[in-house]
Amino acid sequence: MLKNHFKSAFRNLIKYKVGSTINVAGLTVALLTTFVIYSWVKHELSYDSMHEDSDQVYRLVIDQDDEQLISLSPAIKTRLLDNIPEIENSVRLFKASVVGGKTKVAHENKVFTNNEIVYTDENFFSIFSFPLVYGDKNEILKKPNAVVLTEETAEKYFGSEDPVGKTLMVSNKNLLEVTGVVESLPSNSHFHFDMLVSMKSHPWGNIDRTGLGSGYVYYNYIKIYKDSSPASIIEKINEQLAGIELSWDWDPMFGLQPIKDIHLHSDGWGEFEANGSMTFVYVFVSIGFLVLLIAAINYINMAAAYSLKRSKEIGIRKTIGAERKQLIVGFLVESLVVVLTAFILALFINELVKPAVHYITGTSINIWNNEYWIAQVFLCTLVLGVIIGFFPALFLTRVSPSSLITSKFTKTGTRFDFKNLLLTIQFCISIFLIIGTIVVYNQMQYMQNKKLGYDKEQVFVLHTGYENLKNKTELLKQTLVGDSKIVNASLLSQIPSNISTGEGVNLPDGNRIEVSFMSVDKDFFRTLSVDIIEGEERIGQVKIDPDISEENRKNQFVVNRSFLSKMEVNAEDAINKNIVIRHGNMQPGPIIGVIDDFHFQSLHNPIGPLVLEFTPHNFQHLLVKLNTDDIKATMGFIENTWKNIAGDLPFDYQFLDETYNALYKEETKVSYLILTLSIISIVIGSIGLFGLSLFFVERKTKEIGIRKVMGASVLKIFTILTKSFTKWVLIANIITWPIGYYIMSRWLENFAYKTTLSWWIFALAGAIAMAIALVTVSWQSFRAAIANPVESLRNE
Amino acid sequence: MLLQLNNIFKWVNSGGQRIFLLKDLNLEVEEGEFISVMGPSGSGKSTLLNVIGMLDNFDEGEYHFLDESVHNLKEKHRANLYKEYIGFVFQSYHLLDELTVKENLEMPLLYKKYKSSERKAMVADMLDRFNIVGKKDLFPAQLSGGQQQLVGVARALIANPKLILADEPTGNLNSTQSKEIMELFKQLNQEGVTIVQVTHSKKNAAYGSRIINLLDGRRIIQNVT
Repeated sequence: MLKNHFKSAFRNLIKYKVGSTINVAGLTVALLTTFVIYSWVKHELSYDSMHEDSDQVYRLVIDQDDEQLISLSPAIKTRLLDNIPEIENSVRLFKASVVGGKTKVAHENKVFTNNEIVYTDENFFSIFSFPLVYGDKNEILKKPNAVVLTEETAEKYFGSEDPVGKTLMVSNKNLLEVTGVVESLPSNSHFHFDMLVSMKSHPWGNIDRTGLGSGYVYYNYIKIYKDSSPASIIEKINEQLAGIELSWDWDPMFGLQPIKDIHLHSDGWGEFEANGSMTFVYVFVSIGFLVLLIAAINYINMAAAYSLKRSKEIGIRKTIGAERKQLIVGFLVESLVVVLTAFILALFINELVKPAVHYITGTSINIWNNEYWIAQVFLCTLVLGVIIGFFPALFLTRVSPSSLITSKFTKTGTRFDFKNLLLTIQFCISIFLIIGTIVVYNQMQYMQNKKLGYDKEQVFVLHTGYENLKNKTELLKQTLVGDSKIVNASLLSQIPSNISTGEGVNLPDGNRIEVSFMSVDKDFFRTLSVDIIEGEERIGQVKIDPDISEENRKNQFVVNRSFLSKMEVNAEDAINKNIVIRHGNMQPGPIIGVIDDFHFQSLHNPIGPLVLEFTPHNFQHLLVKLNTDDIKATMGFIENTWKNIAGDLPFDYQFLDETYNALYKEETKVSYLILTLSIISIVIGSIGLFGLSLFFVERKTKEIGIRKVMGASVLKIFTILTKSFTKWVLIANIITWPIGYYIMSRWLENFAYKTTLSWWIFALAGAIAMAIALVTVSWQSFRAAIANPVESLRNE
Repeated sequence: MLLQLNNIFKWVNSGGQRIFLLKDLNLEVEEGEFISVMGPSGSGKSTLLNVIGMLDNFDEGEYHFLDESVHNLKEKHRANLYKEYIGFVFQSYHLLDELTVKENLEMPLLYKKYKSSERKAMVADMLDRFNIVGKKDLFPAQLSGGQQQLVGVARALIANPKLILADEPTGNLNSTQSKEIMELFKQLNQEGVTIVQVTHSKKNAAYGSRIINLLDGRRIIQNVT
């Protein structure tokens, strides 16, 4: 029997070519999309599960005013963690690039500056079980100056030679010995490195002497014993902390993040790498379902369109003895054949479009690398086949066989009245995705064009934070400014598009507020065209003398408007008020100037209080404002100047607007993804609509013939035919607009500064959907409208 | 007695009026009979055939088939009854287009869950008996109308029904083909199969042993031949 079901299914597929093609095409695209989303989601969910005891590994963080501080002091390990018996092991990671920019690492004539260098404690591999190619995991990081390379890095420096025992020269002064090689790091790790260096050869010397209050650039991981609870460990940490005499009042809230949750759930200050987000997992799973739903609706609608033809077959089968059950199985076999064909096609196409998918999603997914993967998606595909086959099966097999003999098929009870409902649902989904795309695009544009309070165009950011360059940065700056192509330059501690350093400030009234801060020189304001509200003259007179020691420096500050509103004074009164920033020499200093607010963080955050100080030892970057269209030549000039002054230190630069755009990398990626998925779902929906129009027009052939004989014009008939579809598009619009409004305003709440949801977005989405529907059905309608009525009437 | 219809009424409501398709109809069919149902278009011939074939319900009256009271049976039992005892032949053949001749013949047996070996034997037997062995792998569209109807009759017969219901079986055929089919029916009847056919043609009706005349859903008694 089953064999016969398959035979009939295949022959029916061929017999109803148009419908089969539409079904297979729609399902193939939908399955392909689902595959990609599915494997991406699996990849996102699999982060950091490769470690043997990943369930026992946690990262220590500090919860502070809704923000999480990820990178902490190195002293926390030695002074708090090492004494707690429930902790089996703890390890620190220090990412060299966080403070030092790029580092030159050389082996003979092979010199690279793009290595991610991470310093760590010797027990790294007993917590993170990355497999080693060479070396014993307990020994390789014990010695000072030991370095462990990844396979790629080893290959880069030593080719096919055995790297163990060879040496690497760091920044022309530290010699490291390669003690081991670790396998290429999996992409689903929340941190990556090229070189892992023993903490004992840390560039800052013995970090264990650091106080609890400083050096907040270390990631602390702990591995706890199997049966101990994270909560009790936190308690113990706090107990320990209470026993330590601190020179300042500090009451941090410690927290532990399970390592497996970091990628999707952690979004704190100073993450090792940009993490993913659970929201996006939900968003893409939902879109995957919507795309599948559209394809499923296509299948059901096609079945409805064919119901007239199919009911004859069902009638015959019933009179020769078929039971309804047997007929239903027949329909299920048919839908299974369709989805499996689509499944196989999707697998093939997946291989072809892999590079494009990689380009769009940024993740590379190999569907063959997981034996369960195919089985899982295969199973899901089968379930899908059963679901979509079940609808037509139930409705079509209801036909009474007597209609056969009286040949009155047209009035049998097989008409799907919910066909229009399904069509409307499809349009709702498409319209929603169009609205989503427009809003996301709008917000991206808004952020690109937002008046930031500073001018980010044509500003070149040069990394100058090298020990050997400390005394020459001023010379570099003056040399550059001497050229006519360069308007201005300023030394500072942070890239101003994203100031991530925070500190406490004591106000004159004794209150303490949290502020963002940065060190600048007096040229900062003109270089970035930041408006000075008060104290322009005094700012212009600020002199920076690098020879004055930290203790003797006289502090003076420039604050922004938001700072004033926290301090509750106006700009004039603020001048000469003394404040204390809780670092450096902690000496009170006067406010000498007030600037207008500018966006020094991503537009997700409102502008907070900002304090600018003039402390040269913190300078890390040189901003250079260009005044030219010939960027290339100017860059050549800057690079030459760099070589003359800095010698062979890495020339590490970027443009300020690039650093700004990098803040929205995730949004940009997501907006492309949403756009792609919207187009996909609209295409699938249109294919289905095209199929429906084919059958609709076919059924109306006689009506069109009669109307034409009665004298209806081509335009009139065209209108009648298209109206029956456009009605549903209109209804879909009315349903979707409020839903779209609600969901997109929720999304926009992520941004402190956002575009408005104006009415035209919804109108445009509706118009696009309407246009697509019209184009899709008009070809058929037009053909029917111009056909010779004699032909159509003779057919009857 | 194969079947008995007592005071059968069937109607539809249209525009507030009750239109009778069958009105107070009585009919007895003995095993081995060959009955021809005649009457003008709309007289209820096909409806009668549907009722006998249990494909259609009626609104009033009693219907006994063998020992069963059809009017008291549930839908499912009724379906089982007609599937077991009744074979249908249609004016437009109603073969399954996507199946070959052989597969069309096999289909009823598949639904009745015959074993593979039995099916093969029965199909081969039928192909042989109707002289269509050479056509067994052709699709209906590749056959002439007469040949298609031959397959239709063969399919109706294959599961050994007690009764064949034929709705204008020669309506789409030319006279030569008609004659062949009618001769076939006659022969089948002689072999013991009960046949009820609907026809417009007096000539074809004459093949039967008895003629029922219908007008507006009622039986009318004409001069009995």
